[in-house]
Formats: sequence, C-alpha cells, structure tokens
Amino acid sequence: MSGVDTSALLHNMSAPPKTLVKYNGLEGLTQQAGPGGSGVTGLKYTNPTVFGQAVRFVIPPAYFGQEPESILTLLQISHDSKFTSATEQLSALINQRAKKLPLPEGCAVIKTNGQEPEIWTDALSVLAILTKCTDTIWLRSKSPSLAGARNKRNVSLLVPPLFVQHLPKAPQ
Amino acid sequence: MMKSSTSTLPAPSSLFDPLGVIGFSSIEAPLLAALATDSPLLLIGPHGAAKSLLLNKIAEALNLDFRHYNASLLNFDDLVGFPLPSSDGTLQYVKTPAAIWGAGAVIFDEISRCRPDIQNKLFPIIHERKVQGLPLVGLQYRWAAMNPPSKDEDDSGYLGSEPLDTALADRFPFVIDMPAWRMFTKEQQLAVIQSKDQAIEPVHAQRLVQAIARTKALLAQTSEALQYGMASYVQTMFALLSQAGIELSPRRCAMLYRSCLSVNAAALAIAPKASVTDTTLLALRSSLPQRALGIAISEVKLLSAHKEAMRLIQISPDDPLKAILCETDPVEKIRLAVAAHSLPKSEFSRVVADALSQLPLGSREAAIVHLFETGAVGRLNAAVASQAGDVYKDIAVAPQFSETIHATHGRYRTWNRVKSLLAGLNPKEARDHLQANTIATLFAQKKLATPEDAEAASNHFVQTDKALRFS
Repeated sequence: MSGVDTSALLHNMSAPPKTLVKYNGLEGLTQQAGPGGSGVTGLKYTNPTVFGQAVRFVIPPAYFGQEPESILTLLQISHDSKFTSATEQLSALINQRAKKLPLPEGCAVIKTNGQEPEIWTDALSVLAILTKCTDTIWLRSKSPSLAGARNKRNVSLLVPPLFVQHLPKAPQ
Repeated sequence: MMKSSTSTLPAPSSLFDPLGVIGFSSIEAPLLAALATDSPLLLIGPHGAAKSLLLNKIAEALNLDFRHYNASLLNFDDLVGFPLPSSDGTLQYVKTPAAIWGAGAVIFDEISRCRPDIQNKLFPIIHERKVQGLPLVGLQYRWAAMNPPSKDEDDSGYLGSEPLDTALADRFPFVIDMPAWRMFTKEQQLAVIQSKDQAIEPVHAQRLVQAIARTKALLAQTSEALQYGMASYVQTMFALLSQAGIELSPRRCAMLYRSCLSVNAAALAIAPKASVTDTTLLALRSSLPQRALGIAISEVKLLSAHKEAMRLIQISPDDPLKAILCETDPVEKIRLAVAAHSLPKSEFSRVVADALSQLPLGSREAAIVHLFETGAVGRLNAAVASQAGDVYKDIAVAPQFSETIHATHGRYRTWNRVKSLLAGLNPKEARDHLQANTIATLFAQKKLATPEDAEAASNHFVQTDKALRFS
C-alpha cells in the first residue's frame, strides 16, 4: 500500500474521522502534466524495470569490417582443406561457438545504451551473435550471415529471467 | 440444362449425359453416392440449371414410382390425401394419385420457397421416411431442389428463396451445387442448346443401375480401406473449419464421414484410378449445408483446411501436430506447440504465427512473453521470431513514451483508464510490470481506441499469462 492521505476532520464532531486510503499500484510509472486552462495534457510513461539481463557484445576493433580470410588470420586459424572457402570455414567455427554459448535458443535484440555487461569479449563469440541477428532477434539456429554482420560493431541481447542463472559473470 | 438428343453426343463417358442431362460429370460421384446409399439429396442452383430435370431423369432411368411436388405450392393434403375416420377410431387417408403413399422417390422442388409449416411437415419425410408418424413403405429416395437463397447483405440470391431451416438442411447428407454454365465445355454448351426431349434408352438406364450396384459393392471395400483415414480427415476438418468460422454439427460430421466413404466408392465405380484426395474434396463440397442456409464459404479456407486434413491422415494418431491443429483455442494451441519439442521448425512457426494472429491485444503480448521465457522463440523461423522479438522488446525492456494530448480528446479518457488499471497493479510483482508495460505500449502504439479496449487488453494479458504459465 502506498499514498496514505488523511482527510481533514469534518465539522460535525459527532461523526468519526475519515481516512482516505489510496492505492497507487504502478500508477507511479505514469506522469501527467495538466490539463491546464488550455486543456493540453502531457502524458509520460517510464518503467525502468528490465525483465532478465541485457548482455552486450562488441566486436574487437581489429575484426570490424574484415573479410572472412582476414578474420581467420586474426584468429590464427589456418585454412582447412575440408572447407571450400574461408566463409564456409568461418561459418562452421561460428556455429560451433554458438552452440556452446549458455544462452537460450533465441533472444530479443534490444537497443544498446553501452552500459550492459560484456560477458563474452572474444571475437568468435561476438561473431556468433552478430552474424545470427536480425534487428529484433538472435537465433542460435540461424545460418551465420558474415556479409550482414560486417558493418555491425555491437549488439545487445536480452536474456530472459529463467536463463540468467546460466550466464557466467562478466569479466571485470 | 435442357434435354439433349443422345444420338448427337459422342460415346457416353458420363452416366448422366446419355440420360439427356448434360454437363454433370463434375458432380457425378456425389450423385451416384447419394443414389447408392439412398441418402437425401438437395440440389442448389439457379433457374434453368436442370435441377428438376436431372432428378426426374434419374427417377425415370431407375424406373421409380416418383412424385414431383412443387413445395412452394404444396398443401399437406396434396401429400397425404384426405383424412377419414375409420371404424376402429383411427384416421385413414384417402389416397389420391398425387399422394406420397407408395412412392419410390419424392422430389420437393423449390423447397426454399415453401411455407415454414409445410417445411416442418417435410422434415420427417426427409429425415425418417415418415409422415404423421406413419412409415412411408417403399420410399427409397428423398430429393429436393432450390435456388440459392436470398441474403440481406447482397442480392446474389433469389427473391423469395429463403435460407432453409438449419435443422432441415442438416438432414441432407448431400447438398450439391449445380455446375455453372461457364464450367461447361463448348461441346457441352452446344449439346445443351441443340437438345431434344427423348425417352431414355434402356441401355443407358441400365448403365446407371449398374453403376449404383458397383458403388454399393465398392463401398464395403473402400470403407474398410479408408475408414481410419476418413474418420481422421473429418475430425480434423471439424476443428479446422470451426477455426475458419464454418461450424458443423456433430451429426454433419458423421454424415461427412459416410459421404467421404461413399463418394470415394462412387468415384472408383466411375473411374478406377480416381484420386482419393480430389474425391474427398468433392465429397466435402457436396456435404456442407451452409449453401442452403445462405452462408457463403470461402474457397480459400475450404481448400486450405482440406489440404491440411489430408496431410494429417498420413501422420500417426499420436503425433502432437494433430492435437495442435485440432485445437480451436489459439492460447492452448501455443501451449501445446511449445510443449511439443519434436515439432519441426516450419510446423512450429506456422502454428505459432497462425495462433498469434488470432489472439486479441494483450493476449498476443502474453503469448510472446511466454515464447521468450521458455526459450521456444528459438524454435521459430527468423521471420516469425523477428516479429515476436519486435513485440517482446517493448514489453520487457524499460519502455517509455511521452505524448501531449488535449483533455477533450477521446484518448485522454483512455489514458485515464490506463492509469486506473496501473493503479491496481502491484509494484512488487514482476508479472504486473509486464502487464503494465503491455497496456502502456499498446496505448503508445495507438492500438487502444477506447477505455474498454484498455481494460480488455489488460484482462486478456492476465488470462493468457496465467493459462500459459500454470497449465
């Protein structure tokens, strides 16, 4: 309960005093200015609660905008002849890495404010996120899109509450 | 269509063309099925579509003692004759030549133009071959014909042709639309135009008799071979059509099942290589009473339900997909689909997208929260998952909006209801925050036009959230 107001005593002293109990609930999330004489009303709603944990993934600067061949070189991985191209080899590595990330099979992509913890900072983990994202969703099972991820520097995912316990602590 | 001279026609491939009624090969199988099973048959079509001619010719070919009544002019005395008290105190009917007693077939033409009291009296004749409680011994076939009924919302029907009483329409296992003139081949159209009235040659009449006998014989075999598949088909159709807003009675389901079997038997009697899929669709089309009620059925919905039901015949009865598709409540459908981990991604995505599209505001948001909180969103294809993600982020992540409106605006009243709804929520409960965010987001997106919309969305959220979390 919140917002307990005490009413003024009535003039009739024989009547018992009245107390107005007001329950605001989540009304506090709203703000309202007016309406004044003009009749114009300013409405506002803000809920700072986040359901789950936001996790930020940032591509290391050296990897940004690079072609698959260069990324493999930066990762110090030599060409494997069982793959026909560097793209194919890097995609396989990304898929392997994505499978190991303790995230749910799908997460919402949210706007980043730069404050979210960066739990994984290695390039392959970050690529496992960036290459499997649309503007709104990350899907583990999605085929990596290396071309689509080339211009992405970072992305933030929202991990739902039940999955948060599986997340490792962010490195300090 | 008009009678035709059989001598001008090519070698008869159709059963009915040689009888002098042209262009009915597309409905031959259900007609034959109705004849082989002695089932009541209702023909619907515009004037001049040869409904009465077809029935008269069939009766003639089968050498039936038949009565042709114009139901719009019919009096009950015409049917039964005149009642006279007998010496034992019971009523006897003075049988006139036109009375129904002793008839092998009856045709109630213009049944949709008949007075309601007469329609009620036709009911037991069609349903149980009885009149005034007395059995009509020897009455094998009960047929009726009507023009498409008129409807208030359009003028495609016939003035005076009223929708049939629902219970009466539901007594006709076969409700067949007559083929339209435009569906005739040029040769058929010419044959109809040049037709002459001629007696039916015995060989052609015999051909029909043999086809009926073949259908009866094949019915036992097809029933054995198709009984499970057709029962499953009808069960699925019932659910899918209901979801599409086409309601069938349980009686109609039993009729549809029998019709599917008999039309398949008839199709095999006509063409040994008839496709079960196509024939079953024909049986379905010929077994829905809605046309007689003046209710249009979307062809797209019908075809898609048929395709789905046929596909499900192939799968195991234990396959969760069947239970999911037969479920009419979209929330329950989502719950079942999320629990069925064996569902392939494409099926899961289709079921979820379909169910989400049926959910009202508030309910849809709660279902999407469930998909994310269970991780099931990862089993969706990218297109459906992206749409879900778009909704979820607004609910789960610190939403905020601001807006300036005039206090006289209707939106201001809605806002006040939103505020009062939020005031009833508990700040310490996480679910209440999700509910608050849902209402606020929907308001910000201008999806809540009235205070009642806000209240409904709030209630839907709570109901769906509970149904999915605690089931």
